[in-house]
Amino acid sequence: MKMGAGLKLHLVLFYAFLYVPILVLMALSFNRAGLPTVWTGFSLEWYGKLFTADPIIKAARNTLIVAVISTVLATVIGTALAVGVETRRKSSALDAVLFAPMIIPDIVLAIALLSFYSFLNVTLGLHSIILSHVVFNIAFVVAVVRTRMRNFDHSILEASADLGASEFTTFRRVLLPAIAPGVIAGALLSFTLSVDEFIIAFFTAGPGSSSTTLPMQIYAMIRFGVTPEINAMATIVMLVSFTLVLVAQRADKEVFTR
Amino acid sequence: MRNTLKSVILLAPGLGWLALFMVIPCALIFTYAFFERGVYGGIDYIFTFENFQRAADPLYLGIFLRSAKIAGLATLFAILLAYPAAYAITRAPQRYQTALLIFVILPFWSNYLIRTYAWIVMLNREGLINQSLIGLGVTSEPLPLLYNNFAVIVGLVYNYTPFVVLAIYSSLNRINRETIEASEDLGAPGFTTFRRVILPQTITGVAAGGVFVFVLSIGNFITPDLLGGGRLQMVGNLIYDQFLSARDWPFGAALSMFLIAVMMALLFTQAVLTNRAAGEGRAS
Amino acid sequence: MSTGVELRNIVKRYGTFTAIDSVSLSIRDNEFFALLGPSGCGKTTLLRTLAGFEMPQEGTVLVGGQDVTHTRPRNRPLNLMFQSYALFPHMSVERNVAYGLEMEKLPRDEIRSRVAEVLASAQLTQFANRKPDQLSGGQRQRVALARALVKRPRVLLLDEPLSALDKKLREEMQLELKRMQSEVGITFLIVTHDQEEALVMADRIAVLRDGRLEQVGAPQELYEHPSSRFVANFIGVMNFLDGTATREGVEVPGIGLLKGESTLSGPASIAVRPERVTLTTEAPTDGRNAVPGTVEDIAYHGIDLVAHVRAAGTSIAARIPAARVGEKVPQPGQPVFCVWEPEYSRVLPLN
Repeated sequence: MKMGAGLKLHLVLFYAFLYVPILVLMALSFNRAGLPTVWTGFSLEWYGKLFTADPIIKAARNTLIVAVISTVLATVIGTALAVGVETRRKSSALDAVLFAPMIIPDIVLAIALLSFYSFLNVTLGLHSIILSHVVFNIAFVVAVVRTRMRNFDHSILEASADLGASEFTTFRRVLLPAIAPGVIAGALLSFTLSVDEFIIAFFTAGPGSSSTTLPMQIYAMIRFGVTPEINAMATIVMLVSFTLVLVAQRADKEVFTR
Repeated sequence: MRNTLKSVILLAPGLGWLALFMVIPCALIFTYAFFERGVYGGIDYIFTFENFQRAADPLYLGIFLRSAKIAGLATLFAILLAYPAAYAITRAPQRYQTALLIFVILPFWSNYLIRTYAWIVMLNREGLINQSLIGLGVTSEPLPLLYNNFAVIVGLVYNYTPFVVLAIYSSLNRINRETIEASEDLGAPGFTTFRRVILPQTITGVAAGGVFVFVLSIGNFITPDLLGGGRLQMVGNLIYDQFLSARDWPFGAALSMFLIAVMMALLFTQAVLTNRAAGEGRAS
Repeated sequence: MSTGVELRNIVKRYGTFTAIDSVSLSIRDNEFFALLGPSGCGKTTLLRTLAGFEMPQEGTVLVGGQDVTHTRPRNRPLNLMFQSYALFPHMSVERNVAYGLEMEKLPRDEIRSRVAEVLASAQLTQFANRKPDQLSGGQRQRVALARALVKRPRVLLLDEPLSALDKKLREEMQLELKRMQSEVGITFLIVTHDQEEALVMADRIAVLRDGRLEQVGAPQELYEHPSSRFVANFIGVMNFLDGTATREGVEVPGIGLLKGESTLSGPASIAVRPERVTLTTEAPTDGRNAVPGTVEDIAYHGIDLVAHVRAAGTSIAARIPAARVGEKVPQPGQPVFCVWEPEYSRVLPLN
């Protein structure tokens, strides 16, 4: 297959459009002056400032707590759900429910959850963020694991039963290893999503700064103005996400191209 | 009987979770939309249609229309950018295609706030774009690129185009290559082949990507908040305002119902189109 | 000989569609038995019913005299070799083969020795540590067979076991499977749509059509004495001439009586295999059947020729052994007589 010169140019410009803003941001985070106008030399000063700022460290810790717990819950629940859905009759109503969290505008889910918690008089905090994050994390784990479920030869499950294995043994020794790449990829993706999620966390964190997450901290800083610290933090956060996503892709080759 | 039990054990926790933390909360704000606002910002449980009447007020209707216009333009530009990119990737050597796709989708999985912030850095008066334009002598004064609808559209296109590339790529990939060769063999020039053979076979991918961009754009809150001018840019900001500033939850709930209705209508149309395309595929 | 497997009046419906319509079959111990039929005839459903993956609405499944109709697949004394082989992709060849024995909770030593033994006999010892995706199609097929056989089942069920192999390897494996079956002394029940495969391997064949049993018998019996037009057509090639059955044969309009053993009356066909038909230039006078016609075309097959003769409003195929040097071959357009001995005639109902 050949690619015309026009197409090639478009593709190059398209990648430039995607990556130039990110690369500029990363470059500026190492600029001593910290300003976009002039390059005054390489410096790690802004990273140093970041790691000594208490609110940022605290926000990072909160983010990790939320992401780890919601990922573990969503991975277990979502994997079971995916297996359950793929081993029963197809239902478009069920598909719609499982697809909904991915497509409902964040702001709508955020206010719905806020209303729900306040209706039940639930005190807001990290726990309410976790409960909320599990909702969309489940949807992503289900989507990835279902793709995996569809892409292997289901007769291996019957073969296992035929060779004398109980349903539990078949689940543990045949089904789980077969879908493991999808489960791992789904977990990594939901971790990434949870680390980056802002609006729902913002609405369900409650007043006060005790349950501020990193994206909430970033949002506050951006509203305040362009600062060199944001560039440094953005660089770190982005590199973490990129690494996680690339590892997820390694785990399950079809995770993005299904 | 046993299978039913197994199904229940697998499905119950997940469906229960989604019911409790998605379906019920959404149902709750649906009912809120029919009640009156309390004096101190709570809910007075008195049935009313007033919230919906207010949403139809020219002031708010204007915001709705502006949101739809911005989302529509973002969708259009995203498709115009994504289609040739996706097409170019299908034409690249097979062994590079996965890598090319991963690099399209990679930014999509990084922090949305940061991706939007990157455009504040790009578009501001001292940003790379203004610097380059001045350097090239195109303009002597920095252009006002930031805090307007242009910046919002750029931000939305930037954030959502990767998904459109993916959707179009996967539908392009499903085309039988020989239909393209057949068209060329029958004497069709390149663009005719594209218009009459390739585009009709990929229209469902375009629709899926387009609906995705439009739905996420019209309900967006962060991009207009950070890149747009004025306080009440789009529906998302209006809803935000009702909940966190104005403390008029019933009205905010009514506005979200509007948003959900638009979203469902689009998804339904898309599903119908996709089904019809699939039906035609089977018939031929 | 005792009965290995017995199916009694099995009925399996999916909604309004009847996949298996009251099938009864008995398969003897140590028999190589084939279920043959076109796709969609219900043969795989029948096999899966035996394995326990499908539950029949009516009927009984007996294995070794024991009712297993409601026994779970894992507790049935038979094993299935899947059409896709269904090898566990994340396990090595050795682990795949050991899996079934581990389920029986046998001592480690016994598992190890039995696996080694079966791998050796399947010539897989050197591949023991490979994963299935590092094997060729033929090797994968042998692993699937070894994995099922190592359990020493009373009956081995094989679902289109050779369909994924190329033609040459398939022919080799037909003989290999046959040899193996007589060695291990296990009942083999194979499902296939390939009549040649069934003829070569099986001791007996059951032909299925639309969920019903059409005919059961030894290969030669099915070939020489098909009980219906369907079986005659499905196994090999058959010429048919339609007419009215009498005590002596079939009256074919425009030709007269064609002789053959008949128990039918009314509308019927007289059938003859192409290799029983010879072509002559003059009408025989010795009482053989003869149908006059014109040669339409000659197809060269290497070992023989097939002539198609337009006669009595239909086309009759005749297989002629390859001509010797100087021997005359009929030419298209030439008038000929299609001639055969009455004993090779089969009188069959129209449908």
